[in-house]
Amino acid sequence: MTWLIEGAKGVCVAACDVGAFALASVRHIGYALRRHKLLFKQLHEVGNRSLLIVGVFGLFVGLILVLYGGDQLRRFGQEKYIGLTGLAIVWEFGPVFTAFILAGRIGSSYAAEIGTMRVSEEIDALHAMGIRPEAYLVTPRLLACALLLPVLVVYADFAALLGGAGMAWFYVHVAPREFFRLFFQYLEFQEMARSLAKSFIFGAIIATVGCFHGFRTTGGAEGVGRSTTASVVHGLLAVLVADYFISRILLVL
Amino acid sequence: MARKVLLGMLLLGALFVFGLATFYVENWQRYLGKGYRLRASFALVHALDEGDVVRMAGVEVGAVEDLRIDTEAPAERQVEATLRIKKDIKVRAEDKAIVKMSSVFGGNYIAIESGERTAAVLGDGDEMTNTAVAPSITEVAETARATLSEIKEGFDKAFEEIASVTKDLREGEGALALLLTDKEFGEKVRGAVDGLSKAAGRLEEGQGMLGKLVMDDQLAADLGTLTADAKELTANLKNVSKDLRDGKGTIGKLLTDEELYGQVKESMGTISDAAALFKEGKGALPMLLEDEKVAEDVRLLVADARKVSAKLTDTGGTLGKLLASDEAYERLMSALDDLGKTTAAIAEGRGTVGKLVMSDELYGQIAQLMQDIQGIVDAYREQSPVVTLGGALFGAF
Repeated sequence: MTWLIEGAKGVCVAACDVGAFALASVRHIGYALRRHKLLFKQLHEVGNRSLLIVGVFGLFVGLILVLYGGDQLRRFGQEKYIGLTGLAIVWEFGPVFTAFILAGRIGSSYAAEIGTMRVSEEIDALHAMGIRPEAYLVTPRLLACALLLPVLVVYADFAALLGGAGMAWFYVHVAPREFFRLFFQYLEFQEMARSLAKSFIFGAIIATVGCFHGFRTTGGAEGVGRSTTASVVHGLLAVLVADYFISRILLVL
Repeated sequence: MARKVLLGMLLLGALFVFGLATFYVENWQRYLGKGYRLRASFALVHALDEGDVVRMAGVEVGAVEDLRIDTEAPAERQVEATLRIKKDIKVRAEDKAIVKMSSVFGGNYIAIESGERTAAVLGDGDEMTNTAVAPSITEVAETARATLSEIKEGFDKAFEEIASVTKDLREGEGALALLLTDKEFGEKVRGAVDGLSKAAGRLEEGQGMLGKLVMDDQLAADLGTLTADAKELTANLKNVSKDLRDGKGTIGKLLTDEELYGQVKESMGTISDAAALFKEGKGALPMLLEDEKVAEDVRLLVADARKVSAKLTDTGGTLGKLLASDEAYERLMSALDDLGKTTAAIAEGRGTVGKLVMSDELYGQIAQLMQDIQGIVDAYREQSPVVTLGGALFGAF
């Protein structure tokens, strides 16, 4: 029973720390915008250097979705509706899969980088120099992730739609023109806006979780490894849980 | 540490409440003030559920917010639905709310059908009184099943009757079966078909009367002329018939004048009466034929007449002188000349009698004639002894 209480206390303390950490990071947005070089560096890291992996990932997501979707639709003789898989990409697959890529690539990177700074006492040095570590390290990363994930989602959607249209053409024998006609016929701006709003929140969650685990790193290189792993696991979990609740809210707004 | 635990609990509690609230997020619009509520009562709502959409002309304009059943209310209005309608959508008092099926796979929605555009616009809390429930797929299927059962019963009966007829045919019962199974009948039919075939061949070759009629152009032309003549004749007959109907001419008047008919009928009746008297032996004539006493009287009368005629021939008496005198002869000849002239005038239609015979006024004269005939017959009945005597006198000559 004691361990349960201690565990609950630990969860509450962690929640309090995450909340305080996120709040402190958000409070320093003005500082990050003034130090735009720090922000651009993170934007380049999150955006430019993720293009290839996000593009390839999106392409294959489109291929797989149309492959399975076409196979199922063919059983009912409704292959012409294969363009509707594009809606699934916009609604869910684009934001969630791109967030997963960023959680694996950027969240882990933040946890490892900041964790290493923590174990090597560089963060303490920043304190000593009068620089607030959250403002200097976390806020630019938070902004970069939150701002660029929607952009990357659009990019991933585009790649996935290209892959889907190609697969629909060769495998399901539905011309790309028909594929995109059906897709744009049923796509609404509200759905696209929901997708981008979700992506914005996902980016903020990934950056916060990664940086938080980096800041909490203890125990040298081994601790850095644990923080990296925890940042990815917790980041993916947080994205999925947030996806459910955000979707419920956005669907009725 | 304790402070951190407390803050963490607050944060987690807030997140929990937020997460829980998302399950009721459909109702948020009510609290956010978007749209307005309407009430509508139904007898039943099938599988309609809270959150199902409300459509107007196929466009989503709201949702079902609440469903309540009131067992105390009349059966046709026992389910009360609360509808959340978007604020920019106007629902009027004449509009009709209908519970409909979304698809054959299930699901329901409420369709609002527009009524009179001039009706009052309903506001928050108002009730839609014009409601209906569309039949569910189960009811439609049940109706279809009943209909199909009736059709099947009809088919079964028909098939039974067909089977019965087929059985009778197969077993050679009934006239049709005999016709079908009788070889002699078959031979006759074959012979008839052969005959028809031959006749058709002759017809095609222009042989025989009918063949010539069909194949010979000259005959066809003659037939055409004959037809034209027949048409003309028919037209003339029609005219004659019309004249007769209109009572023109003697025959026409004879046909159409009811008075004349009455007179003829009366005369015929009188003649019939006379014949009956004759048959019954009444009057002088039958008595002359049947009564020996009367016959004896007639013989005596004839003998007396002979005596009279003998006296006439010796020119001693007055009548004898008259017969033997030239003056009397010349007067007689003159009378005969007058009679010839009169007859010629009659033939030419001149004079009274001629006109009576030849003109359209014959009708009246015939009527008069019939009256005269009737008078004569009546006189005959009354003066039959005189007639008998006259007949005897003339018979003597």
